[in-house]
Amino acid sequence: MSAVAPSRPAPVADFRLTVEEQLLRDSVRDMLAAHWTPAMAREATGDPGVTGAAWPRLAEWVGVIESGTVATCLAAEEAGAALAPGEILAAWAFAGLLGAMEHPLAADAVGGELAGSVALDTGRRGPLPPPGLVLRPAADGPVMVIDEEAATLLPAGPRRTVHTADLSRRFVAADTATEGDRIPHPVPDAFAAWIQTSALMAGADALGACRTLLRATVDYAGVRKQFGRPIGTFQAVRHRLVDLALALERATASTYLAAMLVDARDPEAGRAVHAARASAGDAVARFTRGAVQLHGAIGYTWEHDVHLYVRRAYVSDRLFGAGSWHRERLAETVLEPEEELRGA
Amino acid sequence: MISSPTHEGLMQIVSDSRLDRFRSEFNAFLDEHAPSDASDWIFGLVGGIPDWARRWQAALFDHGFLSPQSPPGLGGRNASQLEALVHLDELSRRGLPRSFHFPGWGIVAPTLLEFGSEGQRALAPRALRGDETWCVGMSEPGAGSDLAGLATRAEERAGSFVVTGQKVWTSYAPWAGRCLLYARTDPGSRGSRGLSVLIVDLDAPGVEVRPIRHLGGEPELAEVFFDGVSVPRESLVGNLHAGWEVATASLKYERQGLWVEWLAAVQHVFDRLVELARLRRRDLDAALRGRLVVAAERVAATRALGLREFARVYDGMPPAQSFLKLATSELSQDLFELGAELSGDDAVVSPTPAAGAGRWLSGLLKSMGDTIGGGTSEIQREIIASAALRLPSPR
Repeated sequence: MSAVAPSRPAPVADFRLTVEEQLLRDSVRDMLAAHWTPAMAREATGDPGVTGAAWPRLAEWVGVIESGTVATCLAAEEAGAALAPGEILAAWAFAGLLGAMEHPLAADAVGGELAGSVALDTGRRGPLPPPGLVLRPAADGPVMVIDEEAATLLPAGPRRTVHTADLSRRFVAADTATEGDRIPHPVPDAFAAWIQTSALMAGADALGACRTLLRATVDYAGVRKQFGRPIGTFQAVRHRLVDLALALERATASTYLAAMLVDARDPEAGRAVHAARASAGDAVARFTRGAVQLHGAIGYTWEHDVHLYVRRAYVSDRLFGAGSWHRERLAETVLEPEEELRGA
Repeated sequence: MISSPTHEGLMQIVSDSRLDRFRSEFNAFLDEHAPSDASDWIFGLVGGIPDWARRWQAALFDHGFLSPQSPPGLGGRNASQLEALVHLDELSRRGLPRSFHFPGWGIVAPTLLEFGSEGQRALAPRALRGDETWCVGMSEPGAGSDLAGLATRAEERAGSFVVTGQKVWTSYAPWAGRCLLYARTDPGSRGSRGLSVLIVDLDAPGVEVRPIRHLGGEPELAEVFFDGVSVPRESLVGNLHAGWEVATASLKYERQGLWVEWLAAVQHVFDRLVELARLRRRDLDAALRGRLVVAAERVAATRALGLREFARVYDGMPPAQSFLKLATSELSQDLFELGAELSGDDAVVSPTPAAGAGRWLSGLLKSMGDTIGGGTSEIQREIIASAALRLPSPR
């Protein structure tokens, strides 16, 4: 055997299930099941106060971001699956950012006492996602505005509601012209990892909603009868469901691989995140139409919950860079690898 | 306030000095032994089992890198689970299949090791090393996707079986010395009952192998006829009439090994596609660029799916192998199709009279077998619908 070749780092993605993973999933799921239901999400459309009542229990889970990107994605997937209030996602992004900035308020944010949100005030080109929707912070908390060079903390206070297609979450306008202390991004690696984690968190939320849609659609196909047999026995229905399931499996595996790479600060993380969000975008596009179609006419009604999850997934696919934006970034890394070295 | 528990021990990127050492050693091996001619084979420009392919598989076996978790006599080195994962990860990154004739190492050897007698187990090392070429006789003219419908008979007579019937689409039969044959041993049986597995010597009197050229031109399949072929009783693998159990297990072996071959081939073709796209950057319009990035997304996700499948195997999770088979076989056709489009008339102009097409179209034509062989994509979707999604059975 020849001399040992110079070896690049040898990290390998270990997907083996751990007890801790199941514990985390179950804990978040149980917490949401106890304090948040799709019916509440529906009621919350006209009554933001419902969110307020559930918030203290959700706030206990902000600290999960301290356990890393995989943990955050596991929790976010459950949040999407249960149509959890957007305030928890806002708080994860906010606390993660303060942590990355080593901000003096980071401990309060991670502990859930100071719930905020983030707004992107970035250019349309470059490594940072373009401006997007701003999740409403719990209890009208502060909003951290990010631009290419710095972060500006907008103080707590009521904000104008931005009405969106997503009936399960509230969004607000963040007045990015407001004066405040501009804090330069001091820790580039930590800041990049925060952007990556946030993008994966949004993708995981979308995939959680898709997971609920898949289960609901499979269940429906098993009980809804036509021509004397369940529609789930017809290959046209079965095969479309399989294609939905495959898209979800692909995107979920890609998301957790990217999350592991972010946690490891691996140089491939940036590209993996773009790939994962591109896959999530593909899954969302398929579920948006497929889940409604396979439910037939009942899925076309306002009363049925299908559209709540479709709306949730569709809007999550827009957060921290839309699926299409991530796809374009991926195209750049594939065709122009030197870009990857300079930016991202 | 109750704080959420801290979560350690989640799925993660693992790295330690032992794994680094393993990867270094494997990389050194690959630098020395990896075949440089694999591309033409993957693209269907050469067929059969070339000499370099046999040397490569034998080198993997001899160095304990064919299946590292196995003991040294079976092509391994008693490696750990994570070392085995590094091994598969490296092969798939490099786009290198382990074997260019999968039935022997991928299906026959594991079957013999699990179900075989002592004498049959002794055949496994040569099957793994690729010294002996095997084929698996499942499909018949009347039993393609529906294995339980097979009609080839093996009648027990005075200490031996007499085999009569026909197999078809039998991969690698033109080069194989032996066949792992599925036949009906209980004449009154129907469906999945009453089947058995026999080792049949393809040189035996009464066996005729008629090669079938696939649409790319290579004779990699065959019809195999059995006309009163006498097979000794000790050629029975496993219990009499228990062939279905063996068939079910062979799916499990595919789960454990073959996915990385699919993934490696996909990665190989994608890497060539990216090279082509960079070369033809000026021809890359928005539509082609869009398709290329979808391909990149799909390749990354499928690779992640493969890494997760590895973990599932070791966690004893329900099989997601059909997902991978479906994903990789359809994806590789997408990649070849895109490459053919990018390469313009080079796709249709044949570099040699025998090639029958340019590189990328040749690859596409050859890859069309991937969504048919080993269970069609339609059958894979049915398996997923029933086994993974638990939809009601159509029957």
